[in-house]
Amino acid sequence: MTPNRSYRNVFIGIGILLLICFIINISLGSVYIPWLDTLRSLIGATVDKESWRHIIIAYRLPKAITAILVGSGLGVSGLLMQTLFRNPLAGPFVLGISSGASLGVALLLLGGSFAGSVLSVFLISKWSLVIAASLGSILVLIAVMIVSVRIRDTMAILIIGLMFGSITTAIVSVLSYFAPAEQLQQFIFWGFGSLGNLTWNDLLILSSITLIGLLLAFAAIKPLNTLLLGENYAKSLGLSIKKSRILILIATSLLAGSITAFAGPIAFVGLAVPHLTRQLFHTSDHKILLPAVILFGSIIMLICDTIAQVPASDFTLPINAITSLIGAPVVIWLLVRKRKMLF
Amino acid sequence: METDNQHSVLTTEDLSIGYYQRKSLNVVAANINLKLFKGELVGLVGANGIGKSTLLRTLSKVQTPLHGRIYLDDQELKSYKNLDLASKLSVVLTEAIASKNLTVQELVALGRQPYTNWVGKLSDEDVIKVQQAIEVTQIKELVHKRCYELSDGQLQKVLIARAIAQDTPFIILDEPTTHLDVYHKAYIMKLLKRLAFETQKTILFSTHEIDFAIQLCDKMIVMNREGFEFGRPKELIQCRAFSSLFPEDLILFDAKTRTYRIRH
Repeated sequence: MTPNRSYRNVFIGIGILLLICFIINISLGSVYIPWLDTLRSLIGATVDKESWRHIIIAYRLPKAITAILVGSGLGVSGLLMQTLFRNPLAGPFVLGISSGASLGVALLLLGGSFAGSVLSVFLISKWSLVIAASLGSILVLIAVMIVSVRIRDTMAILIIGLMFGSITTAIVSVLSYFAPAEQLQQFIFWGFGSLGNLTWNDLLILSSITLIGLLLAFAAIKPLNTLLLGENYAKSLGLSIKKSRILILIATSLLAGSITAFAGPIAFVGLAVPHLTRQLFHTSDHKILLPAVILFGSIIMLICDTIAQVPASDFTLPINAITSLIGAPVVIWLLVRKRKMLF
Repeated sequence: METDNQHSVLTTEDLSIGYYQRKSLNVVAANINLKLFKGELVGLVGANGIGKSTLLRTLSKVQTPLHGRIYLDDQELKSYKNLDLASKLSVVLTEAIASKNLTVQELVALGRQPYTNWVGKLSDEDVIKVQQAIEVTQIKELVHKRCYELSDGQLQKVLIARAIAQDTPFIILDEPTTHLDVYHKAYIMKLLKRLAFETQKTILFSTHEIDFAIQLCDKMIVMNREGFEFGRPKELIQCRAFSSLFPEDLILFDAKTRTYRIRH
């Protein structure tokens, strides 16, 4: 009757794994820095070369923290969506939140050319990108919410989310047809996703929004567990479906919207991390799953980023390609092995 | 009258049920007067589409009545808040549960949700109630299995255990014996009978197993096109309630054997 005890060791295990991945991620990069010096610069001790400390504090540390925020935030938003929509294939992308963010960015980057080139150069700063992406995702979310109040059927909402995605893709392709090559390139680069472009200031904003989203997710643990029975059973257990739905949707949009704005659309993490966590923990209880997804998502994202920066070379691969290369086979493997993805 | 009211778990007064369809009123049944007592097993029978589900939905506050009043535990049903109602009424629905990945233990424990704290932690009392529900429904050997591993009959027992764990004086089950073989139909109905007697809960269930229901139920509700009959199975046979249940061109109710026979 005390399942918590057996989970404790697993939690300690993945906690240590997270720490190891964090240190490996920071100590590897295009410039070779001995890992002992990496640790020293982290704790503020003297380092052999001052440039090493600068690389670590100004570049690698914010990137690693971004990876943790992105991994945990997207993982949790995927978990919330899968339970809310009773669909193992749900994630922030299926709902259309990420498409909304893409649309906002596309309108800004590609649509700017219609408004005149002087204006567009003036407009496109990093902040306007973030605001455009957030506005886009919030817009889609409000639309989905309005529909979800009118239509009770969660499958219908899922399809509506998919349709939003299609509309976005269509508008983006029309825009990119007319856009100048330079703007198109900028949009495509944003679409690759990047963890390395955040300053400490950006990071402060992203981490506070992510924290609020995660706290809301923790507040939703009990409704999430009740929803595992289905909405009619949940209602018979005294749960207010509407309130829980709004709570879960706000948490998801905060997490997915802010992360997409800062780091670009990063695929598969939201979908794959909850499934991998369920494989490891053999439970549907969100009391266990939620912290586990946070830890596990962080680890996955750190590993993906370590691979993407191709240690000891000058390239950096697009992070979106790496998450897809790792995430898609995982989902296929799960489907083949279990036939039905259970959640 | 006074003593009746004290023990009555569910009472309806001149209840009319139905729904609005494109602004026109569709009355499914009217003048329903029920009085269900503690420890009674009540079977609800009627042809397909006659409105059994509408009645159960109205009694479980999913749907509002067109007219009349419903009292649950001496309080009017519509005045209950959702969470308060959850400690008076539990349900077993025909729909499948959303996550088949839940273990039996977890599923039964979810019945305690109305009583647990914000994160859903089980107290000592909750743990005992869950244990009792598992024992009384005899599913102890299943507790570590996942729901997708269970047969239909086992899953039905587990869902009943969840309702028992919710610890309410009144339980509504919507066709708990569909998709089961004849042995398991009898098994589930005997289980309901025993639960009503041992736990003194009032159990109302809809079913198509009319002959089993006649043998086991304390009271029965018969819904047919002419109206609505409520009473002990013996009384209902005497007033020929079962004969008017279906059109008599194909099957006839035989009062002696208490079964339906095919007309030759």
